[in-house]
Amino acid sequence: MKNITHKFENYDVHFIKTNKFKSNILSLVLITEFDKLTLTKNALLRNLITRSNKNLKSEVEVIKKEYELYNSTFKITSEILNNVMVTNFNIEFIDEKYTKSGMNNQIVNYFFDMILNPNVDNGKFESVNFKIAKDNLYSFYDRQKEDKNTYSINKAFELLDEKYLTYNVNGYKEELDKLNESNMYEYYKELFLNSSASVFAIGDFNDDDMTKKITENLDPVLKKNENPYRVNNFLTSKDVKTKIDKEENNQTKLVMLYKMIDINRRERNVILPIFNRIFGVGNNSRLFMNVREEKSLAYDIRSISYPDESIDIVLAGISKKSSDDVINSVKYELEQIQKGNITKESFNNAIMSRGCLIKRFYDSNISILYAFISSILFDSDNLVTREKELETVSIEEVVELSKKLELSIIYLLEGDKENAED
Amino acid sequence: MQKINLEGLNEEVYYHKLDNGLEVYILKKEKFNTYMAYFITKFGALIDSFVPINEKKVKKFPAGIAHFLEHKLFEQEDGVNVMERFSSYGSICNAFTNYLNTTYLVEGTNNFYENLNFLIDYVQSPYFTLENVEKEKGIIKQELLMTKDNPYKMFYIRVLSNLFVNIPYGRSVLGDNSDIDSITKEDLYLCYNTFYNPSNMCLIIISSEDENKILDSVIENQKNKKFDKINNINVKKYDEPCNVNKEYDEYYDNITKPELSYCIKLKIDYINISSRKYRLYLYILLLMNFGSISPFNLKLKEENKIDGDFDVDCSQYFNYMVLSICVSTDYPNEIIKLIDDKINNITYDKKEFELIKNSFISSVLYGFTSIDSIMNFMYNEYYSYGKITKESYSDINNLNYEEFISVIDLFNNKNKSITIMKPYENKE
Repeated sequence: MKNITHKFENYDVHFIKTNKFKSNILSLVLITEFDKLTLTKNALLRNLITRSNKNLKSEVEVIKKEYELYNSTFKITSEILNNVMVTNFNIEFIDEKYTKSGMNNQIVNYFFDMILNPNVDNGKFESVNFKIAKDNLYSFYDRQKEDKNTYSINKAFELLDEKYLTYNVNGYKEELDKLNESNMYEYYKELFLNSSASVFAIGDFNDDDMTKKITENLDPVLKKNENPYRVNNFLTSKDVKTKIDKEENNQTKLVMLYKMIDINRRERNVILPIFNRIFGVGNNSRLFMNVREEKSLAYDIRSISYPDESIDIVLAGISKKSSDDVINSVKYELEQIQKGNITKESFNNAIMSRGCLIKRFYDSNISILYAFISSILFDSDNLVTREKELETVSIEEVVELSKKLELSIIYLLEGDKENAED
Repeated sequence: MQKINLEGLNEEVYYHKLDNGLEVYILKKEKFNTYMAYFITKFGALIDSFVPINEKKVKKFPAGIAHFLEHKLFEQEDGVNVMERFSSYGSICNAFTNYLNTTYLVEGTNNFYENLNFLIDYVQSPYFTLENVEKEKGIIKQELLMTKDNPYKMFYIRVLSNLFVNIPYGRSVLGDNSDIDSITKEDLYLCYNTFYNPSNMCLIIISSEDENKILDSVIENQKNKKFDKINNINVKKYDEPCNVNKEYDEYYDNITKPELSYCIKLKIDYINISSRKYRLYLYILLLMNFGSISPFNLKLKEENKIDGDFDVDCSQYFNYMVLSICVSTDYPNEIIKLIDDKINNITYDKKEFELIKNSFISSVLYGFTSIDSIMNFMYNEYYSYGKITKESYSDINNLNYEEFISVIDLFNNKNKSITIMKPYENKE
């Protein structure tokens, strides 16, 4: 595997050259600051741009084109990393040595055509596709509640102080009403003008040809912008907010949200993944072994970290009557770590498990690409450093980090079906 | 070892059946750090009545017992915690039960042989006690509640129960609370001893290690273990009629928009091609007429009559094909009529056929870029057809339009079943 970077005036192009995989991925990453309305605009734009363009006027034409290109799928994903929104336009395609000569070139043309040639006339997105995209997003908002885990996590995040930017990356239904064919086209143009941009590609291709194609397409549209990314730093506070919602379910969802106070870069990147393996990630963690296996209090319990937001949460599917027991058990398990009750064995297992995960990343082109993107654009370590740093972690560091976790929010989505207690 | 060449994919699968009947499939994947092994028994949720090993009469067991057994095999007599042991080798273990099989798996990057041997050893060392069986009941009931809170999972089960008259697809893989409560350690041992015999099991392994060395290691592992000889397990067979169980069913659940399932049950009869090809031809027909590539789908989306695309599928259930057309819609009755009309005026063309075939080939190629999806491909072949063969891939390459036209002549919607799940708030 070989990494090559080309720096241009307004953006950089990074190649990871490898013939290990049968497919290649090309990705354009735009980073911008955001507000509540921008999130909704971005969500609608993702729907619009993937649905049609100037040459492929309907979704059917787009799908047929992608079938013709051996199932190359053009996608746009977005995520929030604390104070910035990261919009990733990408396409994964089978390398032409397995399909047809010249196919790589055709696919790269299609990728840029979809991004840069939107279905716009007279400064407005075409209305039929616009309506389908909007309807689609309305319906997405209506359905959000159906995924109880994500819904509960979002609800817990909403209880945080607004200055910590705890918005939903998919935007908000009430904002969608404000969007029309014209203001969305304005947003489309702004996104390219105001973002810091980078291009990434992983696979087996001629990087000179690829670079030429990239510059031909992107030079006219991208401007130089700074990446304003920063990590969150919470102030300590002993208040714990509790909220209970009711839902016609059997099970109750519990979210315990912990702020991590004043954690440093090493803690965020190196120690936190080890702490979580001991605390609540995997079948060997304290939460799984003690709360689920030993006490039979939950079928599903785990911790999830949000390093950029300096947040760690515990998510559990429980019975309503056990909620106090589960909350107390989670607190107890964390206290044990804070007191240094970590066996050498569980620490070594956590290190080993993290090491294996990093090795597994090398077997997935998407994982390699995403790890690379976050090391170049954000504050993460690259895969080699992650492996190396693992050897330097001590139990004491894990204990120190655990002491920085402060319970801030308890959210319960209570199941109130009668047979819930059966 | 028999070599199975997956032409066009540049991949080879090795197959060997051990003296004790255990089947082993190995796919060597060089340059990859990750390995994965599935240890599978042909014992799933559909099996509840059979003649236990060394007995003569059919005995009925509580529903959900295969899944219960899956949970309990993680308990070891020497007190070794299976998950902790795998974790100390840096690997991940898991297990799952479906209607036909129970599967135990390990995935890792280090200590391949230790993990492979431990996977086989722990599954082959059952240890059930009154206490550990009772303790598990609480955990499984929680899992059941979680399943019941997933309206779409429950919808899938309901659709199957409406389709099949005698095959008990309408039950949850977990059983119900009363089934779970009634399971005993004696039941578990009887099921275990009958179905966890190597002659009823299969190992699928993907690794960068040498295939001969892997096979030697499995043979060595099995060499000193004693198992009863089983020629054939006498399991209750279901005589399934052509008609559906229920033609129309509507009910309410915790969702936001009505969900419609329009299913057609077709007996696999009078065909001289593989059932895999038959399934793919029917699937292509559905994609052309109802899938996201079809004008029918687009028109209804433009009119805001459907929410998202039609989700179409064709699956084999024993000697039946089930063609399903699902969609979220506020107008289920109108959509049913439109589907009926469309089925009476079905369309197809060669260009679209070739495009869809292209996309099938590419989907398999994409699958072979990661260990997870290679395992999915191999497991699905084993699950659907009971074996992995060179036709697993060549059948897709050999699809042709003329054969497609001759096959789809058999298509009709005489046996259809419609299921509608509506939001609670629509209840009058």
